[in-house]
Formats: sequence, C-alpha cells, structure tokens
Amino acid sequence: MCLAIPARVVELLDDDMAVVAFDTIRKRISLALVADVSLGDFVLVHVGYALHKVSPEEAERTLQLMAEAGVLEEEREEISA
Amino acid sequence: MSIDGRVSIDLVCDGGRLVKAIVVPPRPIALGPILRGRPATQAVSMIGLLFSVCGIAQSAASVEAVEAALEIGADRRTKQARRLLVLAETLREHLLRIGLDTASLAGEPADGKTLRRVMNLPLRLKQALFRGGNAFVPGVWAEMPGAEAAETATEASSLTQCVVYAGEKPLGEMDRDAFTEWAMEGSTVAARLLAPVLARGWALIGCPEKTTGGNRDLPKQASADTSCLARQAGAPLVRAFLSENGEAGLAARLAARVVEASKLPGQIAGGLAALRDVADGSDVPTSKVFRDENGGRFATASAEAARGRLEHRIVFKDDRIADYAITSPTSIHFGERGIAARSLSALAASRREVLAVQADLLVRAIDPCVGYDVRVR
Repeated sequence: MCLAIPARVVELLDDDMAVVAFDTIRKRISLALVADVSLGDFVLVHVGYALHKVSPEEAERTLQLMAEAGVLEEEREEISA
Repeated sequence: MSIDGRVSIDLVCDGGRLVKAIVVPPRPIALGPILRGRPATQAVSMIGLLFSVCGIAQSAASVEAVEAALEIGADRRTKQARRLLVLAETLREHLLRIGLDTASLAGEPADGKTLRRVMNLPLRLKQALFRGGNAFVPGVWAEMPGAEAAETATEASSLTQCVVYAGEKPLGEMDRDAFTEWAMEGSTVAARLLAPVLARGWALIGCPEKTTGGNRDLPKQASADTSCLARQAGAPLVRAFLSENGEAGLAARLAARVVEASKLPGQIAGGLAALRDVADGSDVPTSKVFRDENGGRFATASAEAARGRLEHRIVFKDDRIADYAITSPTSIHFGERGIAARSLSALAASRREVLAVQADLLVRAIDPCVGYDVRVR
C-alpha cells in the first residue's frame, strides 16, 4: 500500500541527506525531493526519501491512525533492523 | 511487511540459474475496523492521511464512493477537476521514478532541483482548482481554472520535456529504431534510462514465456495487469517491444511509462480548457448504489493511479460506515502468481549482481512507488 511514515528531522547532513527520528529509532534518509527542510521539521518518509513536510499535528494524526491500523509496530521493527 | 507496504522478493538460484521467484505482497490493511462507526466524510480525510504516497488517487476514489453512498450529486466540473489532479499525481510518480532510476543506474545523485519542482505539481493544481485545496470534501465544488492552473499545466509540460521527451512526433508513435536512436542520443533523463537497457540487450528481460492475457489457469484478477502498460498497450511503440507471444519485458514497461508521461501534460492542459466549458451546476450521476434488505447501502469507485487501478468499496448503514475496503494494484501485481512473480521468474542473468539490478529495474517498471526487498539466494 502507499504508506509513508512521519518522522522528525534531528540532523541535517551534507548532500541533501538527513537523520530522522521515529520514536527512539533513527534513520538516514534523502531530502533530495523536499526543499527548505529545517531541524525539527516533520517529513513523510517513503523508501528512504522524504516526500513532503507535514505539520506536527498532521504527523501526530497520521501516527495515531497507523497505530489504529496495527502497522506502526511493524515499521518500528523494520526501521530498527 | 512494513508501514510502507514493502514487497518481499526472493530469487532462488541453482547452479547460477534462476529457478524461481517468490514474491510476497504487502499485507493489506484492514480498514473496516478503523472506519466502522465513523461518519462517511471522515473516511476520505483519514484515507488521504494514511495512504499519502498516492493520496490523491486514493482520496479521489474514496470521495467518489462516499458521495455515491450518501447519494450526493457530483458536480461535473468537480468530478473532472479531481480527475485532473489524479493525472497530475500520476505524472509526478512517473517523472519521479524515471529521475530516481536514471540516477540509480548511472550511480549518480538524482537531480533534486528538478524533482522538487515535480513533487509540487499535484499540490499546486489542487490549490488552483479548489478553494483552500479542499478537493476531497464530499459535495465540494471546483473553481473555474484561472492563471495559476494554467501556469501549473505549463510547468508540467516544461518538466516533462526536460525529464522525458521534447520532440514533435508523439513518442508513442515511434518505431523501435527511432526510439532506440532517441534513447542513444541521451537528450533527456528518460533517454538516459532507456539507453543502457537497450544497449545491454535487456529489452525483453522479464518477459514471461506464457501466452498473452496472463495465466489462463488463474482467476482473472490474480493475473491482471492494470499498470501503465495496460493503459498504453495500444501505443505502437509499446506494441513494438512486446514479445512474439504478446508479453511485456522491461523495455515494453519502460516504454509504456515514458509514453504515458509524455501524454499527461497535454491531457491536463486539455482537461483544464474543457473545465471552462462546463456549465455551473452541471451534475453527473453518482456511481451506482446497491441496497440490502437491512437498510445498508453499498457503493464502489475506482481511480487510475500511476501504479494501476485502485478500487474502493464502502458499506454505509444508519448514517455511519459499516465497512470499507480497498483493492490495490500492488496486492494484485505482486500477488503470489501476479505479473511481478511471472516477470521476475523469467529473468535469466547468470551473475547474481546483474540479476539484482535487473530485478530492481523490473519491479520499479511494474510499480513506481512500492517499497521492496530483493534477496538472491
């Protein structure tokens, strides 16, 4: 399915890369597709790319919905692998 | 299975030869329990949030199903405007896939500046056609297209010419020789993707040996192909890359993608012009509603996303959602015996690293936005 997970940008790296935090897990992703990303922004992450910036409220609502759908735990496991 | 619905692919080799491709699709999300008991209007916004990668196509199908279930008459201009948004999202996915695959194959960074402009196209058009960008509220009306909509269409055309094709003759009408010549010239990003595929003799890789129309022993849906290949199957260029049995390999799928992408800006511009001619308050019938003896109402709607046809089904009872389900093309294409498994099983490279590259290209040619893992063992 076409799902992307909201995550917070915690470190900006060279070459349009960044580290995002999802819960206690950190992941290196590409920011090549999104302009003007700052530390603390929330982005939707899909297959290693940030697709869009989202507001903290939208990130929270999306995560809540994913939890209800029962898929959040699986993503946590995959990212931490 | 992951949150972004990763497909699991195992290529099983024996003595340096692929003997089997095992494809496991993403686990479908059971929407019924999440949406049950909620008002129908909430379904659309929740689905847009949850399925954000092709959120416009998902929302378009959802709002159409909801409007049908609620028996809200759909304004003709609104319906057509939503369709243009789906086309803009499809164009975005195609251009994105072409840009990222070309960079990946060449071992270079993607052209972020161009792709960031690509990413903005659907949102720009949505804000141009719907007040506040609220395109998927049941009963909402689209605006008359103005300057911003026209500028977005121009931007779509400019980006497509840069990424895909800028020639005068329609790409889909080229023959193989002309297409190969265009690819080897390398004047666009898409040409630089096609050139190594054709130069390496990979045009027919992943081409199943079975006869056309999928495996006749399977239920029709299990072997169905609703990808852009199916939508562009009539284009002479796409037909020119099919095997003698009428089956598609890598080049036919990539050709279908570039042909579709090259046509979309014209369809968007033409659609915007047509919107101006639609009379205010011109209604179209909603999708058919079915009723059961307990007062339940069933409605379905579909949308053609970049990766294939999405089908939404809503059951509505006592002013609340009783059930909701989505059939996604990914679950069918990447089903146990779907087109991905059949195509991947036909790969024949003897070196594992080549096999992995070919599998990557083939998977992304079938579905531009799915996450997946390939293991060669």
